Amino acid sequence: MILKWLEVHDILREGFDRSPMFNGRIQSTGPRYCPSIEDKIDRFASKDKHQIFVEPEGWTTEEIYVNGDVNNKVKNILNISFAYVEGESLIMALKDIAVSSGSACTSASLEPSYVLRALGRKDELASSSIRFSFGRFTTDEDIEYTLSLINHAVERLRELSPLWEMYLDGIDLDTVDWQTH
Amino acid sequence: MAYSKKVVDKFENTINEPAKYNVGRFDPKDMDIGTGMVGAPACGDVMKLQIKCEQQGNTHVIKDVKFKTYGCGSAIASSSELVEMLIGKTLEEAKEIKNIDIVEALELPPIKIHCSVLAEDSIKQAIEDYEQKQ
Repeated sequence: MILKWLEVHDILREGFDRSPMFNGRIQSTGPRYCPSIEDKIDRFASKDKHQIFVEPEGWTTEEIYVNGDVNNKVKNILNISFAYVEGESLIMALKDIAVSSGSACTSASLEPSYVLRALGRKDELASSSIRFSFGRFTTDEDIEYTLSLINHAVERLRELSPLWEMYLDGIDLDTVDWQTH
Repeated sequence: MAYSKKVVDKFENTINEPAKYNVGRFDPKDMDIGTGMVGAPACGDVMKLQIKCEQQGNTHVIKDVKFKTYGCGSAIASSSELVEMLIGKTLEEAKEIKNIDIVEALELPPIKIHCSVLAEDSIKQAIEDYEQKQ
């Protein structure tokens, strides 16, 4: 929990016209954060400080995509692409938990999943996907543990990744002339 | 397909202690650096290899190596294995390294031989880049 300062209130107020909560544009793009902080500043404008909650799991994650429609999907399966990290290396780094890469039908193959490609994912994001399955025996502790494992594994593998390095350098990977056989 | 213990150990050592296992970067513009980058994201394998060389008499010796790899566990293990073979070698000796040396060192199965081929390509390209700067 952290407290804010008045300059931050002003900075957030300046962005109200771009906030989905106030402009009603559901299809906005850009960074997301919980809009309740904007609501608090607006409704309780006389208060000079507010509390917000920071979830540590989201602190260092970026370039992570959920595959499939978040609302209209099978509830116990989560398929996520971790950009710039290859799926099989992530499976090896997550050795304490049983996960797969790609979609169920392509789990034994090295090819990027045609299902993920049909969902609009480019080959490299399809190759960067991990499939998590939950069941009635999955506990909260299992999930907490998995979250910390994933954060640690993705961080370590991105440190090794030339693609992540290029992303940080601001290079557009689509413009690179790749040297392949 | 099961991973050999050698691949698993190499992979884990590399991701747990990246600096010790030569993960990193040099400035590609430096005159004593040769850079090779092979593979493509769409293929699921990209290796970047950089060699830092020093002229000693008539030959050039590889003094230091840095690499980064996007790819499966075998690809990461192959590039990590390759860089260990390179330090201290002359460019001529480095050109002699074949993918089969990496396959044997890591006991790679047939389906993962392409990872060792990519590693061999990366050193050839890095040497080429360095030589055309001299």
